[in-house]
Amino acid sequence: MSAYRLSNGGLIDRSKPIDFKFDGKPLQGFAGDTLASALLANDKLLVGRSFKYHRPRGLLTAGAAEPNALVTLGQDGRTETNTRATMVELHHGLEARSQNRWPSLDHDIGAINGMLSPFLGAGFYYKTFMWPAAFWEKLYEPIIRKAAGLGRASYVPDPDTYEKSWAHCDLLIIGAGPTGLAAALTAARSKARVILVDEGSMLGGSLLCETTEINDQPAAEFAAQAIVELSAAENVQILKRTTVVGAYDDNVFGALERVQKHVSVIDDNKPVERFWRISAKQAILATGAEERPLVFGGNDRPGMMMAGAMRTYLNRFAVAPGKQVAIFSNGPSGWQTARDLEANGVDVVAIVTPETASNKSYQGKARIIANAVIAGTSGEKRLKGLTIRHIGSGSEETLACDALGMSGGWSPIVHLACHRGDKPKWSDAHAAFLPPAPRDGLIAAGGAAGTYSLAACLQDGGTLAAEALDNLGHSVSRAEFSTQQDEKAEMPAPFWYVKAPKGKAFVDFQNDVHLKDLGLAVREGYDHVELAKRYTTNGMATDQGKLSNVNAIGILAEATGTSPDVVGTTTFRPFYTPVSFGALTGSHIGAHFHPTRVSPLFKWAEKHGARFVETGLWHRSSWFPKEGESDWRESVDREAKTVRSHAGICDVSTLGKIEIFGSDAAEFINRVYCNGFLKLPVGKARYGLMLREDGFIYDDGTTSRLGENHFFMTTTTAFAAGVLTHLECCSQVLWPDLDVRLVSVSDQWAQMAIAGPNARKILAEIVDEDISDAAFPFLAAREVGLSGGQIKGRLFRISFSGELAFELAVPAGYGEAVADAILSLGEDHGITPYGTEALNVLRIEKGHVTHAEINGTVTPGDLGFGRMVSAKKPDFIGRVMLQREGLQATDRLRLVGIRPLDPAESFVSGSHILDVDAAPTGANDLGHVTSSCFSPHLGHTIGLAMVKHGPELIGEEIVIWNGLKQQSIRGVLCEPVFVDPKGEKLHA
Amino acid sequence: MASLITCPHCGVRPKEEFTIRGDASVTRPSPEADGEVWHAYVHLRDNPRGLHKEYWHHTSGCRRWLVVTRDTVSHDVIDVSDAGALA
Amino acid sequence: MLEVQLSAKPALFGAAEGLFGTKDASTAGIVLTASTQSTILQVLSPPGATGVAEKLQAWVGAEGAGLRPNGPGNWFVVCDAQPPRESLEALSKTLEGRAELLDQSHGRTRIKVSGPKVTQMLAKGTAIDLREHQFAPGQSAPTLFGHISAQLTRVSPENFEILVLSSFALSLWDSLIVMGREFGIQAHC
Repeated sequence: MSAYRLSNGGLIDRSKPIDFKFDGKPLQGFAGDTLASALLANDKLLVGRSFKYHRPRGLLTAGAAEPNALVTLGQDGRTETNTRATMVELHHGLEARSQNRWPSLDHDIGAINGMLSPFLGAGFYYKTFMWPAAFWEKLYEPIIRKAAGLGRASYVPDPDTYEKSWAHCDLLIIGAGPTGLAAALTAARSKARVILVDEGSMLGGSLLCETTEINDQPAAEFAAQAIVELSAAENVQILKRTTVVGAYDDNVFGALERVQKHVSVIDDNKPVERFWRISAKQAILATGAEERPLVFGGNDRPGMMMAGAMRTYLNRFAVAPGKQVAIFSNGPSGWQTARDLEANGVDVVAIVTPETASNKSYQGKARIIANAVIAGTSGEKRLKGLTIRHIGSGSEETLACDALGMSGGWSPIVHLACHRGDKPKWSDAHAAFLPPAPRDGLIAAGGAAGTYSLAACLQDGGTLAAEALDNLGHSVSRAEFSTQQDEKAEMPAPFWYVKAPKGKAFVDFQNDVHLKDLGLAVREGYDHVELAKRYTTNGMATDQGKLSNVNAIGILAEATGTSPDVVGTTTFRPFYTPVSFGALTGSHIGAHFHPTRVSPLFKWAEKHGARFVETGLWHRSSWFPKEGESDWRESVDREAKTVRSHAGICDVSTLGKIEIFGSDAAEFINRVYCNGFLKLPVGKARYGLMLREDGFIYDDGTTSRLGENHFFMTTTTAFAAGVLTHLECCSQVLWPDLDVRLVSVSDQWAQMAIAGPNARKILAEIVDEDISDAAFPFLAAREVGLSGGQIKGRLFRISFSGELAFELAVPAGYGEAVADAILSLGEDHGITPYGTEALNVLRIEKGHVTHAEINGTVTPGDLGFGRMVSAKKPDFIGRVMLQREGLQATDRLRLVGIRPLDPAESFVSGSHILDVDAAPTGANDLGHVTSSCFSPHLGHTIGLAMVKHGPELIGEEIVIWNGLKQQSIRGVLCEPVFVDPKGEKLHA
Repeated sequence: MASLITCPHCGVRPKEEFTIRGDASVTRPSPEADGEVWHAYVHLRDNPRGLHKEYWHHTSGCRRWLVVTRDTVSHDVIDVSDAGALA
Repeated sequence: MLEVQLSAKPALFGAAEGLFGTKDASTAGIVLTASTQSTILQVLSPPGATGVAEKLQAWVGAEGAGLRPNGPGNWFVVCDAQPPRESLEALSKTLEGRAELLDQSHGRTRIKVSGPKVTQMLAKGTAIDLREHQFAPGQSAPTLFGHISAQLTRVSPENFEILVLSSFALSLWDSLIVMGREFGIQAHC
């Protein structure tokens, strides 16, 4: 036994014991503990195995930077790997498992890597697994991947919910330590809207861990009182358990709130995590500073930790780290730790410091060994002793101890100030990198700015908050604080590493990077800080070098004979600490991955048994199986045949619909389509072909003239949003002088196609007006009354199926009633509902194109629409570029029909067209099938294809090659109209 | 890239509400202009370091096309105005 | 000709109803209501037209309707019920030559969201700063709500209205229930 719980003190509640398990073993802690403090209180010094050498590791910190104590929490879908034990609040039933060990933490086979370590230095993988090249993908990578990694993620879906939210404030304060609280108290007394964010479950930061006093109160009590005041202030929003993980342009910050990561029973109505986007006018970075480890031989044994972390365990959690504690410190932190240990009756065996003089304010019992370093340590799964080397004489002595607190000075936590690309600046006076100059109202204060004394931090927080609020025009009254005499926080020169260490001197604990690795990187030419990082992996993985980067920079600087200033830092990028994918996804998962658009005829189709297909955001009815039909093709064949023999009704509501008004509306439409529209009469529809400015077809549809200055345009379903945006660009940007206004009415109308020889008979029963061929000829488009003037609709005589057909639009809410009425009125006329599959068959049979053909690489000429392109119009989108030689070339892929030579054979879209004698290779490709289906009218597969010289090859035999299945069949190119080539049915 | 854009019609909005079309410094040539001019208009774009003018469409807002002048290095937005010169 | 009775179904027909996240309606922090009988008109005017906003303001004032500016020269007029025909004709007449009037009663769906937690809940969807002095009662703005574009209006401090494309109404309704569950939400349409 070495670590133990103190009998009194700390901010834990001894009346509330909490049961938890570590690697299956039942243990107990108290309310207020973290998993880390509870493990330490139970003398569990060994909490993990290191990444590469599988070395036994213990707690190094008490906070967010913890590199060693990574555990897996939860079961199945709630499995959470690589969780820092220092950040987990202890709660009933918590089960934690150690990682990166097999079969157990105590007996880990992988530790053999430690013995192989002479061969596993930096660059080992790069050098060893280079040849033969073919082995990399098949052999080396899978093995390395299997051996690497920390925790193992679960494949079971996460049952919990996550969400995102926006927040807005005048002043964002990041961190609720002394600086942040001082800023918040000052800000609370203004009218400004303040958000105070802290990653901990209790606000107070270092105040919870130190034995100082503010306003004659113990620091923790002062913090508690401040929280009472802040919680009562209406203008202050406090976000606990929330880490600001990213700083983005325009002072937008990303913050992860752990809403239910500390509870035993999760409330399903609440998210477990919430990702905030906080838009702040001003922000104060009060994130404090990170204590730097010292780099010496065997500096990673369980029982060693940061001196500040030791104070946290001692003062906040009432846990003594050992019975015989040694300190190794450069700077004042170690001395304070010795004082706090002794105050709690813990024996401090020695204070070792490379500084030449003792700390004047220390008056404890510990033996002070100045001008000395620790050269090596002993002990396997827990620390047993130290080898101390006197710098002057070089003589060494050993010392027994069971814990060591170390401090190499402090590094301001500048990450968020650097996320937008600004670099921190090295300061010799502070022996640290300081944040870059303030930007857009984001300013660092207190420890984050290199200010270390408590009085100065309190002062800095208040001053900067007052300035920020003043900038925003708020009047403020400053909160004032008195503190005990502050130890002058003078930083000694940095002490980067102990020379000639005995054993590995770790720089990056998480990635097992040690001193020699960095030396090797420099010798091999990877001395640039970004290269050294990649070569050695220093500063990678979940902790991103929070503890190791500055030491590595110092070591590189010494090795290259420069200064940390010259070496510089690697790039700081979001996120500051890891963020779960769940939080980034928010509520947009599963059925809510994207919104679902519901056609006004969705429920109608559902009622009639439709099967649906997802097309973009829509779920479109794709076929309507009848009882006894077991195969989709059976239903589709029946639907298509019924439309051609009797009648069918199909939901086409998903087409984009745009209402266009204005005295220049006709001119506008004339410019956005390549064919003419100026002379389109009122009451008529016309097919329009819309080009992009580069001459290729963008979209097609029909546009009807409902009035002199009023048009109704339809677009394809897929391009509805794109066409609207394009037209808005044309009217607002290209031709703002044209008097034209346009608006989407896609959702106002339920639109249905009624097609087939009986279509007119059926519609005549519900449409009030005369719709005979004479009164309502092909391409007529007019408003009509329905069922005795009950409602108004719009009727268009247009056809995608090639049959006598109409499209009827009615106000969306009436869609179901009207479609049902048409079905029942049409019953005697043999009507059937049909879906997009039958629609596709009908249009391929007629050679009508869709985006399967209009894929962004075809011109009007390619589709046989060359003559539609107006030669008279002075201007339209795409006119000039369409004339390019390449777009007018005769050997372009052009539209033809295609059928199998043997009607018993079939082919699929995407198949390639080859000459009969050509070898089946891509080089011999003449074109490809764009659409194909089984034609129930012809009794065999048909298709549309884009083929070089296609129309000139009609009647020729070719090969249809399916390269994926290595199948070839003989086919014949034909006219792309398979049914009613003269269009007699259409005009019936 | 900016996080927030101040739409002259709608106020401060997140970039997610907008669709970016790219270079706003090009002008559609006259229909009589020769092929090279059209080629440049349709295909050639600068990728400036520093000040850049772009068309942004406030798709989930007022649906107006805007001209955003921003700095591609500092990400500062210098100006946002209506592309059709609507105040 | 057969006698057929045509009746309309709102886009939110069959949407989820009841209490979510609470068993007691009196504790619900959010109330979600569909306003299915609304008349919704869209008004489009050329950029140069003057006086349109004033004329609309006068008409909605007299009619007890709401005006929702949707962008330059673009408004929605919302009425809880079908306004009298003469009144609509009068509106149409006063706008003649200045603006087009378009029926969007079926194209848009009006959802009312209210309750003491309403701004907290709506912040999960929109980036608009909903603090009362930033987005005051009477203010209305088109915005992105989650992944759906919608027109958000603050009717009074704790009462908001969302005007959404009808095809998205069900999807939005479901999202709102998810967002409101933690506060307890009562939904009826």
